[in-house]
Amino acid sequence: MLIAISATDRGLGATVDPRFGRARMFALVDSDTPEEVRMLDNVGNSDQLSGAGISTAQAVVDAGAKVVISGRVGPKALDVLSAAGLEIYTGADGSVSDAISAWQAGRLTPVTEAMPGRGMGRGRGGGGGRGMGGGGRRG
Amino acid sequence: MARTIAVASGKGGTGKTTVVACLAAVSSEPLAVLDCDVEEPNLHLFLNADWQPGQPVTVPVPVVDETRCNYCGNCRLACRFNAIAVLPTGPMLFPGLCHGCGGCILACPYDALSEVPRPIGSMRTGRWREHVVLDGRLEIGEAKSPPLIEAVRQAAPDDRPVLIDAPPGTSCPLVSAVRGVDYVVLVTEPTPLGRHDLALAAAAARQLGLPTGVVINRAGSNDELITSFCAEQGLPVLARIPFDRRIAAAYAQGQLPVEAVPELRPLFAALAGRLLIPAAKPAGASREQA
Repeated sequence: MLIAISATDRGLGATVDPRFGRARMFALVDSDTPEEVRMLDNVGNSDQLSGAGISTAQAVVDAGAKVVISGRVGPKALDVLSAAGLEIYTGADGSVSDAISAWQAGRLTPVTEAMPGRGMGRGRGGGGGRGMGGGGRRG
Repeated sequence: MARTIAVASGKGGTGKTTVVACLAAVSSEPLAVLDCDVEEPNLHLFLNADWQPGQPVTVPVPVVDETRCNYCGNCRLACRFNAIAVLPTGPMLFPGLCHGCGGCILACPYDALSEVPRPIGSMRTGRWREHVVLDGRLEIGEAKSPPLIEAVRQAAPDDRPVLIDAPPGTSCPLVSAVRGVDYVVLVTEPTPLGRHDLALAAAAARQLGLPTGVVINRAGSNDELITSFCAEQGLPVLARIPFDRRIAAAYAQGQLPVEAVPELRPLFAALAGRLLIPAAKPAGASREQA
């Protein structure tokens, strides 16, 4: 199972980037071989003026990740990731390998659809807000 | 001198609306007065107009017909604003990020996308004295005001001079409110921040190729902060509104300063005469915009 961890630099020793959508890169680690890492460059998405979370989420989905680990994941990115069926864990810090260990030990917070701020349509104002009811189309 | 005048500032709270309301109050001819500060419209507090019911303003956003979509992702690649994700489970649209450009619809090879209107706010028209007044009101939480600002401008009658109360700042809303006008009045105050933001707004107006002049509000001390900048930039100082507690007191009551403080009248009459005298060109020629 492929895990994507937001990172500020290359390698397992790099610091976890606390932001998902604006992370410069992702460490991609297979849970069967956690000592091997490959990097997914995300600068083309992280520097977008709008919708960085959406395009980053798209890239992570396209890379085949099934699990996302980050510090925090914004509401639109969360919509994309959960629509694509990925597991999302937030609250990670320290190095990428620390984050993987924390995830394996069950110490990271799984994000569910009920998370406050998962807002497309709710809170953001259906119709006039950031999204019309229910948060984008899916399915 | 000109037919469409925008009153802008860069910095907020310098007196744009005060200047617009006072110009309307002293104008010797009927105007169209537009509150294009649609995120915080406040002209109605000073021009107590007889309003008609508001009308919704919409932008087109795409919807997908999933029986036609084959998840090719061309729409996502066409979108400059990342308003579309295409997942193995299907497409997801984020209408709040959509700018209504229609690019995704052109890019779709399967005719799976079409446009539906999405309301972003409302606009209304009213009468105040001999003037037509229009304002726009952006829906709370809505991020993009330019389509609403453009709708308000397009609804203005073209048989009279147009006076626009522009939003603060120098980004898209300001550009939408001033693009194509004949003259920009920048209202500022003699403070370092006033000068700083005046410089930004003047640079924006210059980049848009718009003739510009400056009104100094709360004038009386440190005016040289502004006059020196205007001299450097070749910007005329059109008027100085004195710092006067009576103006603030009138403003706080929703009264027109020009009526509460009668000696302001000649100042605004002169400014109105200078700015609003109709030009010889055909009506509406000044309103070209995207």
